[in-house]
Amino acid sequence: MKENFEKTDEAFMKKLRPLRERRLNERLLSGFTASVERKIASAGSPVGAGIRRWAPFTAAPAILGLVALLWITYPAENVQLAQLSDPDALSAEIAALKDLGEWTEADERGVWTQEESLEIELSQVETPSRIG
Amino acid sequence: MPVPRENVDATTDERTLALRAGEGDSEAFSRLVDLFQERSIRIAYSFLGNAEDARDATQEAFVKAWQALPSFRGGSRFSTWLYRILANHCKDRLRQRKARELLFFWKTPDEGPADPPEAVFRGRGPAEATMDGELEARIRKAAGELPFRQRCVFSLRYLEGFALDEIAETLGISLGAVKANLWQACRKMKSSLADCIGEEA
Repeated sequence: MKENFEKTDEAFMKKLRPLRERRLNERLLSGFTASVERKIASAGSPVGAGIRRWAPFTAAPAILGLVALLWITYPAENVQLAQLSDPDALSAEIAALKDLGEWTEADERGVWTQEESLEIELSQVETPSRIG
Repeated sequence: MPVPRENVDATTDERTLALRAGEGDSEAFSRLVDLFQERSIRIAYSFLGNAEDARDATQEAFVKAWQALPSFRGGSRFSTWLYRILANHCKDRLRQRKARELLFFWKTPDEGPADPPEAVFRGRGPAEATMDGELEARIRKAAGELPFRQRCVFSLRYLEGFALDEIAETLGISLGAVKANLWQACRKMKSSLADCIGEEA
């Protein structure tokens, strides 16, 4: 079939060559460009042409805006304690975070130094005077 | 084989004009219209068979191209991209014509009948004179009766001289599909024109 196709193709190309050399009647071409120009003038600029022209100037503020938005809304890498100032709520909050898997040993180390941990442990021991 | 210098310039020029036109430069677009109007109308005529329809369809395809230019990235040639828009637009027009004919079957169609080549092309030069007018009309009529895709590949190949891969890119089909459609079109043309197209075809 390949050979047949190539032969047929070649024969048609040769036979129809005079048709490829015909030039269009000038009547069909006269005023063509002017007519297209009128139509595109009423259609307006290509869609997005204005956007493309201003893109270099608008891209930087847009990117900065996006970064700022992410900075505000995206959680920080380390878990932030909302109630750090309230010591009673702190343990409960850490326990909840541990349950959720959001509290890691790194966080533990980051928040409490060894001395602070010791102090807290000691303060939790109920002394007879406090009981009394 | 190296590409001739004038072709490189033409392609570069075409691309530059298209990118400028995409930024809203209507003068660059007018230059593109000047460059491709004749071939576009010829192609539309081979698809639609009527000169005025072909002219209108080509103008509309240029307007569509203008509106869609920002999406043109220069990956292919502007002309290939334009001819694809034109082919799709002609297909839509034929579909609409068919729908109108079905809906208003008792009326004569408002779009003109097929124009003979004499009404569309200039007088014959020495090269064209090797084929008589009657044969040309018969070939164009037989091509016009092919199914749309076969008509497209046949016209682009034999009436416009497109390379096979250029046809594939223009119509957005594979090279194999181009060959298969051409093969079928040639067989039908041979049987329609058996008495006059000659043994060699």
